[in-house]
Order: sequence, then C-alpha cells, then structure tokens
Amino acid sequence: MEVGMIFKIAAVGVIVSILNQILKHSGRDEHVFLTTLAGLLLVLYWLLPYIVDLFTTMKNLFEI
Amino acid sequence: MFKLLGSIVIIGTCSCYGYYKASCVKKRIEYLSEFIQILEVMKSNIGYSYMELPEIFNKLSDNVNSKIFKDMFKGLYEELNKTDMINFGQAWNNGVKSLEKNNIFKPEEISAIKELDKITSYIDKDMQLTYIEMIKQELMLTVNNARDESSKKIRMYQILGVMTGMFIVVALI
Amino acid sequence: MGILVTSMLAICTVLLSLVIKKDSPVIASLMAVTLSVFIIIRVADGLSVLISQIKIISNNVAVDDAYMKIIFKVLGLTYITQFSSDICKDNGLSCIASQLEIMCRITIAALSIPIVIALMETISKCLN
Repeated sequence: MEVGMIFKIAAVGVIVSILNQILKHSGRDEHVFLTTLAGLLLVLYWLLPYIVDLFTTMKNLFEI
Repeated sequence: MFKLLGSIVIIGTCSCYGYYKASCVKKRIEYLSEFIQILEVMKSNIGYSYMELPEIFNKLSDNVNSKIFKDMFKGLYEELNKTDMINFGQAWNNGVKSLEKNNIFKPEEISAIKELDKITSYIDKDMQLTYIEMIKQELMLTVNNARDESSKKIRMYQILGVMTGMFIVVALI
Repeated sequence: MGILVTSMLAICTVLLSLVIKKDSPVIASLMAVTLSVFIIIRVADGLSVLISQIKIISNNVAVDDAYMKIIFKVLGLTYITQFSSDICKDNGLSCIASQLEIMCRITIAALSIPIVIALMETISKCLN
C-alpha cells in the first residue's frame, strides 16, 4: 500500500496536469482551479492518516 | 480481476459520455446547416413555383435527410391539411416543439426558428421571401460561430471523458 | 523495505515530480512529503529499539532520568522542526522555515534550563 501510494499520487498528478492543459486550450480557465483543487483534496485525503501517524509516533517515541 | 473489469467499465462509460457530448456538438452544426438549406428550398418554392405551404412541407419531408426534420414537416403537412381551422402560427409552433424535445439546439436558435410562424402575416410574396432571407442570415451567423469553436470543443469533450474515467479509477483503486 | 528500495523509490519520486511540477506543483511537492513520511514511518521501529536501549544503558550509568528525558525531547523537537522547515524551504517559503527554526531553538533553550542550572550548581560546588 505504501509503495503503491506514491505511484497513485503521481497518476493523479499526471491526470490533473493533462486536464488542466486541455481546459486551458479550450478556454475554460475557471475549471482549471477546480480540477487542481479536487486533485489536491483527494491526495490530502489519502495522505493525512500517515502524517497523523508520523507525528503521533514521534510524540510517543520522544515523549514530548 | 474484478478491479480490472470495474475500471474498464468506468473508463468505458465516461469516455462514451464524452464522445456522446462531442457528437451532440457535431449534430447541432449539421442540423443547422440542413435547416438553412431547407429555408433556401422554401424560398425558391415560394418564389418560383407558387405551391401552397402544405405542399412545400410535404415535398420537403420527402427530400430531407435527417429524421427530425422529416417528422417535423410531415407533422406540419398533416396538421395544415386537417379541416379544423388551426392557423399557421400555432401549427408551426407545435412543430418546433418537437425539435425542442431533442435538446440539441440552443434556445436562441429555437426562438429564431419560431419567428417563421409570422410568415403568413405577409400577403406579399416578396415580403415573405425577404422575411425568410432574414431568418436564414441569422442562422448562418450562428452556424459560422458554432463551426469555429466546435473543433476545439469536440476534441475537449472526448479527452475530458476519457480523463474523468481514469481519474475516478485511480481515486477508487 | 531496505535502503535499496528506498533509494530507488526516492529517485522515481524525484523524476515523477519533475514531470508534474510545471502543471500542478502542488501535487509534485505532496509526493515529496509523502515519500519522506513513509521513510520515517518505516524507520520508526528501529528508532524505538534504539531509544529503549539508550534508556537501559543510561539506567546502568549514573545519569539522572530527568536529564535523559530532556535530551530525548530535544532530539524529537529537532527532527520535527527539521522536517517541517525543509518542506517550507522546498516550496520557496524560507521565511516560515527560519521562523520555525528560531522557535525550535528557543524551545530547546527553555527545555534545557534545568540542565544548565544543574551544571552551574556543580561548577559552584567544585569552586567552593
């Protein structure tokens, strides 16, 4: 799961880039921001549990 | 195994929807050009052959290629031939309603086509011809604008469909 | 997931984020953050073993338990601040990075006051 996650994020990034290019060329610039935001939210949704896990581990390990 | 099947189904559905929207754009341009030709035929028939309007519509419904116009003119011919005194404006508007249902034309074009119902208010043949010419010019302007931006739009809808499918697949796998 | 796999993943991530960086730089930097988080989560097991061993050793040597706690806290603080400030610097906001580092230094200084006091007392006892 962890190793595949990087490639899933890369796939999301590539798709968002292609969508942004196409929307820019067809003149719908207002949708570019929405697509980027959607991709960002999706990736954050995947990523947040791991970041929380990291900081909790650090907190417990070093007894901060 | 099921994941692969499901992802193929999702990508297929989304790209089909994209291609459908692209074909709607193409069809609109074709229908508009065909309607402009129909107006030309009406003009020449009214100007040179002195046929009555129902006869013209009957002939048009036989000659026209696309189904929606065939049905519309056939319906108009039958309504105008009925013996109860429906006037031309109402009959024309009923016919245009059947075009509206298809969801391909934009509202401005439908309203431009609807304006043809006033044609019987002109008794003079030349005024009728000028009126038809005016509507034809409006539609030609719309068709030219649509043609310019259609090539970009068609490509965009197709690629957008495929990309959305892939996006959903990556999000769900 | 040893060092080999990690290095290869890191190279892959760098190349992929270069491809994406021009069109959506957000996701490119998120990829870097993701890989860093994964590496540390993997290493955290070994780190916990290391820290427990150091605690055992320090129990055998005559070092006060409180001082070891302070040292570990300082270590953790340093790591977290380094992580966050590197992310800020990578994305061009070195202002935030510097402020984070200053906050880290002040917190470490505040945390280590007991050690300084104990040192001063020892020195003054020696001098007396």
